[in-house]
Amino acid sequence: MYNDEDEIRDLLRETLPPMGSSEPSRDLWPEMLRRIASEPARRPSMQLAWWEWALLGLIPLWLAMFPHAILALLIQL
Amino acid sequence: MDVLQRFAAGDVDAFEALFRAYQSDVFRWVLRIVRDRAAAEDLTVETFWRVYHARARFNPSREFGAWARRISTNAAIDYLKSRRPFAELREIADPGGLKRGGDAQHELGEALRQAFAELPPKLQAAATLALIEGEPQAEIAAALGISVNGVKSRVFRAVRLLRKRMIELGFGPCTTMKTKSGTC
Repeated sequence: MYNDEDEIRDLLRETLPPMGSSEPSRDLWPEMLRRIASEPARRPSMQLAWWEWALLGLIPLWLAMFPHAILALLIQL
Repeated sequence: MDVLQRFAAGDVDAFEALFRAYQSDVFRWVLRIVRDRAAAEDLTVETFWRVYHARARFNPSREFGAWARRISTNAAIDYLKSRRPFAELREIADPGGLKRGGDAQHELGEALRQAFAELPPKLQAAATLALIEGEPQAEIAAALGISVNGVKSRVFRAVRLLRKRMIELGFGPCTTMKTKSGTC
C-alpha cells in the first residue's frame, strides 16, 4: 500500500497541478443579464393560511346542506 | 440602505455591483474544483443565477462572499455529478488504454487522472481543494457546509479509494515508487 496521504498528494500535484490564480476570459455580466431577461415572468403565488383553506373547504359542505344559500352567496359576490 | 440590503430587496444594480465584486473569487473557487476554464465560467454564471433566485432568503448581516462560495461549491459538485457518465464511458470504451504505449510516467499520470475522475463528486471536490490546491480545511468545511472533521473524513476516503483504484489499474505502490525514484 502507499505510505500515506502525502505520497498521494505529491502524485496528484505532479499529475494535476494547482490551478493557481486566474480570471474569467470575458466579462460574464452580459451573459448573466441575458439569463435574467430570459426568465419567464413569475405568476404571483396565492398564499393562504391553513384556516383560510379550511374555510374554503367548508363552503361546498355548507352549500350541500343549504342549497338555497347559494343565492345569498351570489349576492355577496 | 447598503448594497446587500438593496440586493436582498431585488435591486438589479446592487446585484450587478456584487456580481462584479465577487465574480473573480467565485470563478477561481469553481475552477479549483472542476479544473476546466470554460466550465468554470459557465458555473460562475450558474452560481450567480442561483444567488439571484435565493436573494429573498439572503440575510444582509451575513457575509456575501461566504454565501456565494457555498452556492458555487454546490453548483460545481452538481457539474461533477453530471460529468460522471463520460468518465465511466471512457473506461468502458478503452479498458486497456492505460497499458498501451507511452512511457511509465505518462501511464501513471493517466491512471491517476482516471482514478481521480472516478471519485464520487463530493470526495473529489474535498480532495481537490485539500490535496491539490492546499486550501485550509476550515475554508473547505465552510464551502461544503460540513465540519472540519467531515472534510478530513472525505479526504481520507478519497485517498483510500484512489489507492485502491490505482492498484486495480496496475499501479501498485512499487510501480509508482519505481517510476518516481527507481527504487521500491
